[in-house]
Amino acid sequence: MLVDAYSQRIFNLAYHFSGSREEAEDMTQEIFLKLYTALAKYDFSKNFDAWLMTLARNHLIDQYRRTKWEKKSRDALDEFSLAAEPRSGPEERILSREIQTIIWEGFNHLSPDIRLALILRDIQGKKYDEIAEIMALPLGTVKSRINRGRLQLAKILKQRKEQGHGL
Amino acid sequence: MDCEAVERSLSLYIEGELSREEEEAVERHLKTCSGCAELLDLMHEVRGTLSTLPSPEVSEPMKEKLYGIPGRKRTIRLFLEYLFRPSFQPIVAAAAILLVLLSFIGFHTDRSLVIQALDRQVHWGFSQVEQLYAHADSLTHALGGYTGDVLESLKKIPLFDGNNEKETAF
Repeated sequence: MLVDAYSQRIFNLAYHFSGSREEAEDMTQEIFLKLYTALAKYDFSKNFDAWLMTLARNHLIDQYRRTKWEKKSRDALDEFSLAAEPRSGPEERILSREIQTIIWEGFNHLSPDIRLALILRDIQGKKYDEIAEIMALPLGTVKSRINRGRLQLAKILKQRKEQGHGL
Repeated sequence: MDCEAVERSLSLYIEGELSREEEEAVERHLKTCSGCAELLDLMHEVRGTLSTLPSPEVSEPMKEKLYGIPGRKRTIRLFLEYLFRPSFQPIVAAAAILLVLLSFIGFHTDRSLVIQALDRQVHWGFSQVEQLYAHADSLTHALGGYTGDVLESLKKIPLFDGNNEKETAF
């Protein structure tokens, strides 16, 4: 069933993109509503995964433009859900959590297209050509956007380290 | 290779997607530029951290809502089919006209003028009806006690009698 197969992936995409669990739940529902409407138009010769992710991407970007999420703060990261190194000590865990928080909040400084490309690549582990298909962009543009996103986050991290946020 | 060119290539360098020549050029630059070398370390850190960000599970109530979407859509479709069946079309058309009129009044820039014009028309209609009643009253009054006789005479006039010609012949 579609819900079992895709809800987790869509929900996580919306969650990492918006930074809010509540927003992500609303958007997942809206994306599934759109999916059931658009299914009749689905061309079976196309890759369903990419088609669905494109539908999700379009919805997320449209919502972003309408509501301007960058003005909103992101949910605090739940410390119990953070994946810490099992063998790391308490100090390393605190440090790792601080860096995660900086990166998490740093997402709000990225443009929607760069943010989405980075989520697809570095969180969802998609290949560059898959991302290019989802985002309907040339491969070179996708590579360049992902590099820009990583650079922006690296510079934010550097700045916060220089400001001495316990890092 | 300058700093700008290295910055543009860092992701591909990390992921091993550069040609041998490009890779060597980046490495030569990194050996001499501490700023770019630091940026490379930070980018490694960013990549590593992104892969550890939490991905919460979809809750059961949320899944239930998602399972319910096709049913909800079907209900909406059936409702729309019911609403737009041929026998309902005059009602839908009347409702649409009413809506257009109301929106015309509601969104007109000179709304007060439209309302005044409507008010005048309604009052004119009422005054016409009142005048008609007044005429009927005055006629009844003028006839006074003769009203009964007049009505009786009117009944006797053979206007609607089919045997009119026969009677005159006799």
